[in-house]
Amino acid sequence: MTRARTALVVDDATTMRKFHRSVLEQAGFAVSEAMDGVAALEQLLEAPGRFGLVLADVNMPGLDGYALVGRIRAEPALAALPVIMITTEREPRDAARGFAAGANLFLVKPVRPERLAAFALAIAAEPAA
Amino acid sequence: MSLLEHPLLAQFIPEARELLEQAGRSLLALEREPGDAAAMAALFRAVHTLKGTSGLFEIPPVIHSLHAAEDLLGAAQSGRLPLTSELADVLLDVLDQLARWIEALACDGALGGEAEALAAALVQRLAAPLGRDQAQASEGPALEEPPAWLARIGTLPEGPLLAITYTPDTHCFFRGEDPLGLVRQLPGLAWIGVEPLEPWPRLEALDPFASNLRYLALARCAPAEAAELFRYVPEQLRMAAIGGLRGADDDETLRAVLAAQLRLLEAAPEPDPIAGGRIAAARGAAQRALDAAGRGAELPATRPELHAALVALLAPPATPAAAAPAEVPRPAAPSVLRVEQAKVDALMNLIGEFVVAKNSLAWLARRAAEEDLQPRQLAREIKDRHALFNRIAEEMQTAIMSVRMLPVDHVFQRFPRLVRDIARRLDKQVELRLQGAETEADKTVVEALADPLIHMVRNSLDHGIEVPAERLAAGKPEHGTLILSAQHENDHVVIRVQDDGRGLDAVRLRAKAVEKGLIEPDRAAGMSEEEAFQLIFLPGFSTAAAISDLSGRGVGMDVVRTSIERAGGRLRLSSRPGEGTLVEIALPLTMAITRIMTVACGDRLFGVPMALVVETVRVPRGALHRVGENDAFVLRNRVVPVLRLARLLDLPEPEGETPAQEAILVVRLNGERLGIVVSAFEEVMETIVKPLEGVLAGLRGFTGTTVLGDGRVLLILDLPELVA
Repeated sequence: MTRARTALVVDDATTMRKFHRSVLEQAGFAVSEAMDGVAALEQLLEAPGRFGLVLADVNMPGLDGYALVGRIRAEPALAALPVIMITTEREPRDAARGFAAGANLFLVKPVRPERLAAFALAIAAEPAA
Repeated sequence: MSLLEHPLLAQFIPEARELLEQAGRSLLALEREPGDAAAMAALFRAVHTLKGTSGLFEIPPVIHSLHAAEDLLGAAQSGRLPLTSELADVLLDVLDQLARWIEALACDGALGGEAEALAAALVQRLAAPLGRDQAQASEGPALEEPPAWLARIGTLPEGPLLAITYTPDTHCFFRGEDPLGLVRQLPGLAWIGVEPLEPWPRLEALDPFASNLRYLALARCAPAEAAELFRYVPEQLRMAAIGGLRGADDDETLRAVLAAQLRLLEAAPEPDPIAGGRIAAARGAAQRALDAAGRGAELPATRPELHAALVALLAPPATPAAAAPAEVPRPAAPSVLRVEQAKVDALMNLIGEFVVAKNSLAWLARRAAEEDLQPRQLAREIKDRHALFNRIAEEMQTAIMSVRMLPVDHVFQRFPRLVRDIARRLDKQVELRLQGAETEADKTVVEALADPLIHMVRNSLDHGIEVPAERLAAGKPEHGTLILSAQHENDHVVIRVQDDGRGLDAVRLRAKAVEKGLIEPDRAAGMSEEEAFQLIFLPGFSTAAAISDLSGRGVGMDVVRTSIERAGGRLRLSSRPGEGTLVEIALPLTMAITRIMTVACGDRLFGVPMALVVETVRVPRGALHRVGENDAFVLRNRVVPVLRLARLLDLPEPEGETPAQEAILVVRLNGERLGIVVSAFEEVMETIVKPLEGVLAGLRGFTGTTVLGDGRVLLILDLPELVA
């Protein structure tokens, strides 16, 4: 592997964003952040192929996690981009909703850092550009 | 995510424990006295405060549960909802679960994998009385990710399956639940398994009344059917559909990723607006996970083929999977001591005195050099300083002991809840009276009391106190009374468990002991009632038959007695048929400082805890008589069996001329007197006994070591073990 793996962390809660960023950075990812779904989509569309993984919160103002992953799957340039959804939602049926929307993995907080890192490393794509 | 690193966690844990205890106490007070506004306010405040602080951490299950509890309490406080026993049951369950979560947080920094589902079930139960049936109730039972234990099963049955994880609570047997029976009623049951919740304790610590199992099952049935079967314990049930999926792979992550991609494929709605992206994303993630795991399969690109490939990859390996499920033991949470400010202040003052006294030594040294003190004068000065240091050391010892002192309430406070729960399950009416809860004893002593007390309280409720009808028939009040009292007597804290139940039945006890071959029939016949009662302490008195019907008084009473005696205590039991039973436990106030008698065996010294020593006697050699296999002698009209310490320890008999008199240490073991022949009695001292550690830890026959004034190490004898 010549290039660093890259990930975009999307969460409106700063603490969680920083936390997930540190977990992914320790796993060797170069990490960017977005405050919400709209900002994330902008960054993704700006340079498709820049990111090898999206880690998205479910509950966000504006474009939420379900909508974000739906938009990614519908966008030809982004369609295969691996997406991990992560949530504090306590309803197990939300997982079904996450998978229906197109998430590759649906994790419920709290997720142990080593587990999150293992999942991220297992499914992240190599950046294309 | 671990919260162990969270800077506020250490502060939060004890606070949460305290708030939960307070809530539990208030709730029980409310149940007795439903109109108690102060208790209601205290309960509400505790729950509310805990909810607030929990918000500092990422523990949504805790917060959601507390939120729902607060809603319910709000309704009860405003009088919209009467606080019934059923409601109290729900709230107590919530408090229990919260307590488990707090301990999990303290140990692991996380609530554990099932927290989300448990909280959802609790919230639903809390919301139900408010008429707010949660939306999910109408949508059918919740399904979850395939559980991790699937990976540990060898070959899975064919076809779509429901994986069921059922965790009955520890006290389920008392509610007459039959967990295994319930699981066996599952429609289309294909496989059943169990795993322990906690690692099995050593046999003597095993609580046969508590369920320590999780039941695992695979069944060909609809989630709704299973939910219907488990409708009384929805919070203990977790289900996952593993439709057509078979799975065992040692790589957990790979398996989880592949299973998730299968779900991604299968979750497609009709029509699927993102069909292309879905398949590409699932294939990409699965392919990369396979590559990362070094499994070089090339995945197909069409949906049906990809689906089939994923299913095949998740199929169990050809060889049966290895070991049975087992859980990693948890490290114990650090124990925290809460200390009154005044006790710490007293200790601080003594440290001050100590520092000042220390300076006087430097001054003395200088004076000795400058004034060229005579040895005699110097000796006197040193002796003065010694007296000073001695006083400070003694006071420090007392002060630090008092820091370790805890009121027995620490153990007592759990009984109102325990007694209430057990009495309800047994349909008995029991009034619990706690007396002397403020009595203090060393922390280790108080903690050593907990298990034996629970055991005896359960025995009293189970076998002592009768059901109301039987009590009325016997001319007693419907309500049984159980008194738990504590008080100081000499150097001991004495705990009494007294019930006004039916008492022990000497005839049945004798018959049972004979039947089990523990004593000879003629010996049984010659036994006084008092002696017959002591039969319940015989190892083996309670056996499988007694355990399975949960009755047989005496389940593990030998274990209880042994653990009390190991802690240097005594246990006494007395009973009057028809009037009740009294069990008395006396434990030394402290275990940290032990009085030890040193005895010589040849030229070696050993220590014996003074708590065991009854007296020391010297008898002429001729006074020892051979009785059976052992020697014995008569002490004040009682025959006392005698053993030789040298023989117990496999040491050579002391050489030299045979003394005209034998030195016999008379000890009390299992309520019986026993003489131990030693070479000589030495001094009695107070000392700190250290447990055997490292390579010595496996040494049998010794409880610990202490260091003698001259630096030699003294081994402390474990007489119960040596004699057994």
